[in-house]
Amino acid sequence: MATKLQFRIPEWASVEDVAHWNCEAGDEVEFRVKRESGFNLFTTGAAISALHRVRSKASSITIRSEFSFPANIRTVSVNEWPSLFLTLGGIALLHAANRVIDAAGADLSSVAFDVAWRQLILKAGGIIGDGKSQSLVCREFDSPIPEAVRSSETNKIPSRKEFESVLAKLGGELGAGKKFFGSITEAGVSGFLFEAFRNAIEHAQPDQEGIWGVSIEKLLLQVNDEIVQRKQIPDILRDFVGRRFLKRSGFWICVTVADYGLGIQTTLPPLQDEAEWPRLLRAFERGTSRKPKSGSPNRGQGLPNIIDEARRLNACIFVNSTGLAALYDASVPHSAWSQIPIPSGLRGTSISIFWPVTSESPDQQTLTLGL
Amino acid sequence: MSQWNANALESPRAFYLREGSSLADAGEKISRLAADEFRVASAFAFISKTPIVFDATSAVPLLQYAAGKPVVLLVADKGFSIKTDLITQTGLAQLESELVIAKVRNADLLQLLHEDAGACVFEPYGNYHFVTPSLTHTTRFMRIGDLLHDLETLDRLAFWLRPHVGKANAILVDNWSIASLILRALQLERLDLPFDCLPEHPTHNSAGCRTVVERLLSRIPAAGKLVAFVSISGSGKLVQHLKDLLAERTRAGLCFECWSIFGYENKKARELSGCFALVPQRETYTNDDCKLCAQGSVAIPIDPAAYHLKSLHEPVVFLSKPHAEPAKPFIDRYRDTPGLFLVHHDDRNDGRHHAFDLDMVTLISHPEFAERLVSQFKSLEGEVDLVVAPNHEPGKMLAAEAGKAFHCPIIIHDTLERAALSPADAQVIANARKLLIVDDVVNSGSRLKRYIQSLREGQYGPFDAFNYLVAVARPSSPQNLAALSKLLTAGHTWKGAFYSVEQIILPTWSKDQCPWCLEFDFISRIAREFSRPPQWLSQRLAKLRDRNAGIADEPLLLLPGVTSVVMGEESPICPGGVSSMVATFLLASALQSHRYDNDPKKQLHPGFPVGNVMSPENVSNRYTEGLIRAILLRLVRRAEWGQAPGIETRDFLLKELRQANQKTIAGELLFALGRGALPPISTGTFTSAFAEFFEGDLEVVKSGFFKT
Repeated sequence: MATKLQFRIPEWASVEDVAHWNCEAGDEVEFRVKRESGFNLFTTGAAISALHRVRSKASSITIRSEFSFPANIRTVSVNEWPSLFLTLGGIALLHAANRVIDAAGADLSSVAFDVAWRQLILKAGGIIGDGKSQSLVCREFDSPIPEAVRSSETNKIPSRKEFESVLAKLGGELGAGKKFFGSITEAGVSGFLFEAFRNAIEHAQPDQEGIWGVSIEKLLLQVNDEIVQRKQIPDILRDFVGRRFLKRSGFWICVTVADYGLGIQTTLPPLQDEAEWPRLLRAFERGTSRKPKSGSPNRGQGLPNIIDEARRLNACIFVNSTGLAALYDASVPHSAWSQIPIPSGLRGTSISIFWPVTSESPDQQTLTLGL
Repeated sequence: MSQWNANALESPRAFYLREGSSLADAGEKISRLAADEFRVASAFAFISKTPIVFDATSAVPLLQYAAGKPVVLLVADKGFSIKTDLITQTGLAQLESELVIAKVRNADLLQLLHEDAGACVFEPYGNYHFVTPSLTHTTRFMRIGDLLHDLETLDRLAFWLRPHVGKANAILVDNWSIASLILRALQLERLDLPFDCLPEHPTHNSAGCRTVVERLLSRIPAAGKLVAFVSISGSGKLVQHLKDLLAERTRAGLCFECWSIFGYENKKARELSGCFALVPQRETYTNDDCKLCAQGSVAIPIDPAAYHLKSLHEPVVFLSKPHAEPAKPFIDRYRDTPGLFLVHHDDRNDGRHHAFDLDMVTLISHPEFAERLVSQFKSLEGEVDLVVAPNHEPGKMLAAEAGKAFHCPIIIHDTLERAALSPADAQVIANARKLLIVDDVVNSGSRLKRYIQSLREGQYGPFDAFNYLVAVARPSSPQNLAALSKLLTAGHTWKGAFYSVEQIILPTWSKDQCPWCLEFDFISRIAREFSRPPQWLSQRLAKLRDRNAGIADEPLLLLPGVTSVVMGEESPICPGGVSSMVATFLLASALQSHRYDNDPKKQLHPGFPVGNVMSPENVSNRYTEGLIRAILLRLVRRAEWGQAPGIETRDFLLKELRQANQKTIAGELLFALGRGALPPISTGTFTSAFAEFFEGDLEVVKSGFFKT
């Protein structure tokens, strides 16, 4: 018999929170959201995966908001739109839901996603966001490559340069400065993110429509004390932020590429008797590739390069890949991957890289970034 | 003395002064003017790209020749401007530039047309009229590119462009026929600006136009200025298209300016862009409501890329039974093999995309294939002491069969490069004298070339025999197959031959040409217009998105309410009862043979020098079955339909769509029109043709269909 399940989305939902979004086939699921609802750093990917799972089983998904949507919903602007639904995770939630009821009891089922998609996202070439986060929204199956990263009408995979210019633009919207992603080191990071983006396009799962994409989130810290109190920071990041905050400014950026595909290790041909965890780590070793033999010496360079770039940026990497989660803190000597326990059953890949954006160029400490 | 009055510029006579000219030269030009021309001139204007020094001695006779009519001088000035002065006996008196420039420019350009004696104006005699690239039916067409036949004309026109190119950050031109004019203007001003031309009129190729515009925009600053030049503005559709394109890409601060060199006296067109010179209006009609067509006048389409009457000479050809014959044996043997025929598939071994592919594991496992393979091996008895196969599943399966037949060593390797081989394998090759390479498929023979190169560089051999056996030879033409055999033996001492168990000619289309990749682009454009795409769209998109699996069942786009069909009996080209997928392979092969027909008069080849396009009769009389028509709509490429025959084919099929037994063509007709394979249609035609399929979704589908 179908069960009615309810999940509340708190102000800063964590990976653990969203990992509990699950149901049995035929269940009716309701998400309760309030105006402050949102996701903390590193959670977007898990949210997309969890929503994908719920959507594949639930008979209905309802969003019940504790606030009212704007009255002029058909002509709404980004500034008036609820902030949760300006995030990649929020858009995925809106897409997954077949009913949307607001605090005034208004049934917005037929308009809420329509407005978000056609009015806000498509008109901006696939980009949505506010001053806290900016996202490139990809939709399977009709918009895997949003217009903002396309040089033409076709669904051709964009060039790395096209992808980089969108990252720079999104970072610029968050106040990361005109030269964001302009340094060689940051370009290395964008190369890695581009690789992850391309993998997500190539490994789309044809079993279900859905939302995935790239999200850039901002963290602003004024004083050291905030590190402990701010729920936007996941617990696994607090040490890293505390250590790096001492020396650097309080402007941090987290870029995430998140999809609901098979996961990194699943697409990599296994070695004999190789378990999932070492197989995931092998993806970050130089020369490992899941792609067919093409003779290109550049195959298998995408993921390993990130380690070098992360070291140069003193960044932190978080990978969530179908049941496995791994953290790499590149700011400490002899850094290595550490496995983070997460609830099982989530499919998909999200790769996040988090680092402090300073007024000094990561390439050459004496250059300014034009902040 | 001449008196200045702006009204005097209503019908000025303009003269272009060459470099180094003086006022005396100007006077001489007026003096030589024919009496009639002098009489109609209300004023005289002299245009010079270099400064003209005032000289009172020359000015006096000049003004005497002018007989009291005002004489003005327009000279290129600093900052890309044009200085305008009234010539008086005592000196030059500066005039308000804008009005003078507009009036003189109009007169000068009309004068150019007059001097050209109408060579760039096409007015058909008899019962003909034109369809312009904007799909306007008209009695007159002007090709401005034909004006540009000497340097002086080029300079004369370029003079009027200077104020506009000088202030631009990038320049866009509506077609390549006038590109030389804009490039000359840039050259004269020593400017190196981003520049491009639209590939075709946006009505025909909006995606291509978008790409060009976006490429230009990416090269100019955010608050830059894009200036567009249009050769002639008639209906205003082109300018409107450009404005719509830019509106989608609105960037804060971006400035767009559009100028037509010529324009018909059409209020709407004039509102959309500035116009250098106005020519009298002509008779015009819309595509759907053309009185000329109704009177039986023949519509001659103007080529939307070259802007000329390119399509007047379009010999038509017919797809016939012999074109399908080479593929028939293969189709007959394997037509009922599930999963063998794939379209829109990424090869799991090399990652390449194939519009047409065959699942080789399925084929090699087929009992009839196995029998034919064994008989091929028998023909090679005594000719083999080593078998080499590439390192993939079908290669290994073939190698295993060869091993059983020849009882000899087998090496599985992709290249045979000595450095990449184990010492033991290298030794085995060194000892071999009779080599047999087995492979699953051969298209161009690149793997064979690699093997031969490695064997030569590795200094193996000499070999007595070198044979190459493939499961399926699927060249893009019979000529390719002959070239493969030659490749194997030419310049070598060994005896060798090329063997294939099966053969089928198929197009080797990659991603850019794959009709299913184009379909994905097309229907995703429609789906994006929906917040929740309807099931028929999302299911089709899901299939097209999964290139790893490819499409193994329905290759055609079926609109809501239309179901998949199998071939009926008694078709002249396709066996009865085969699925739409098998029929697609057969017709793809037949069309490919048609493209390479040995008789150039029968060859489907729209390019130079053959110029043959598909006859509309192919779909009207020869092949009346909906399934064949639908498959042809998918596989025949844009240029192959031709211009005028393309219009005839389109109109015929739009009418046929009303027949109950022709609904199968609906999706493919929509796709052919949407990707521009057939000439475009109006929104009215779209509604009347496709409304029955979309019901409540019609407006959304239409909006995606017509999206630029």
